[in-house]
Amino acid sequence: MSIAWLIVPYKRRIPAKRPTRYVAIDDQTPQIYGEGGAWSESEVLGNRAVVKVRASDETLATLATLYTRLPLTVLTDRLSTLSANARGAIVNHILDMGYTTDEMRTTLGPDISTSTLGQVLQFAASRRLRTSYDKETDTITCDGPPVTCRRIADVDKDIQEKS
Amino acid sequence: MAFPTTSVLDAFNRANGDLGAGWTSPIYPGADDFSIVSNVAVPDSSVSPVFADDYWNASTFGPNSEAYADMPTLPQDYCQDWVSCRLASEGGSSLDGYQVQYLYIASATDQTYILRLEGASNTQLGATISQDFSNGDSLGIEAIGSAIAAYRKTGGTWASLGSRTDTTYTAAGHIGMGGDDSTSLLDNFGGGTVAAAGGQPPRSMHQFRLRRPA
Repeated sequence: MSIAWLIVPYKRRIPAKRPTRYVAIDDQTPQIYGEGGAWSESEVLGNRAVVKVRASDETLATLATLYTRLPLTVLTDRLSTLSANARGAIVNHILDMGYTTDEMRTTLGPDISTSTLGQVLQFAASRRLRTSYDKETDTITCDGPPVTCRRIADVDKDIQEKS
Repeated sequence: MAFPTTSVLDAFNRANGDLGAGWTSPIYPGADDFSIVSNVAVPDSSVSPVFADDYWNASTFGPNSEAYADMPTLPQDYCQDWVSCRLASEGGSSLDGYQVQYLYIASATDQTYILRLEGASNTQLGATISQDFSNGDSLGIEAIGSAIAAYRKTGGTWASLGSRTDTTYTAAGHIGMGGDDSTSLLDNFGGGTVAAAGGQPPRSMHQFRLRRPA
């Protein structure tokens, strides 16, 4: 069993008699839990979740084709060990969530390579937006006031290595 | 810690009709309410598709709170029962709270979800819980701090189905129940503020100990 950090979107549960969304990786829950794995999440900005998952290498490879798999696994890993392209991809994923370059620089400094994975993920979990539901268009939108996210350290504790 | 720590609030053992003064509907905007039929609570079917819920209005509970209900008859295929706690702004677009929702699936293993209610929509917390239920089982929710847990009672014994962490709602709120199938029955609804384990003994016992000779 191995560990991975993923960025995973939310999706609508169908059928559901009331509008319900869930982290898309729940579609793979039977496979992950069936082999003794597990996952845990923190909802972040942009209708996404930062997910830590423990699963077989085969399952993690499958998940990497469906979601964004980060190239580091331990929260104390430094981004300096990554290529500039890999670091740039992580920055782009965080900007896609809805954060600005300025707030990223304010929190993480001008050079993201000096940050750890934990610092970057905790920045990604700075806030989420409360959801609202529009009955006319049957749409759940993350457009409300900011809400504090679940701490990345707590997600990390949920999912530990298992031989 | 044992579940539940609180007593049954309503066994519905009275004449057929509305649930009565202790209850208010809806929790979700547009939901119908429950009625009593033959001493159990049954979702009304005037809303199509059927969708009914009620909350216990006599008091708010918590923030550490729990709710539970018996399910003498499980819902039909792909229908649900649920229990809720830390409810606020019921009936409006600002609805808040937590919910444990049970889904009966005839052709596969039943599913249970731990949900955050937010703005009249639901967000599932963590993974779907796969667990078959039987007629007569009970469903429960417990919110202690940031831990939101689902419980099932079968054969007279409660067991945890799983727990999720969420820090969105930390205040006391109402507790309630719901269902989306008019053949689904709920009974013996209970809950309230979770009784702390290992806390201070009752005042009278505390004073007795102080006066007791060494």
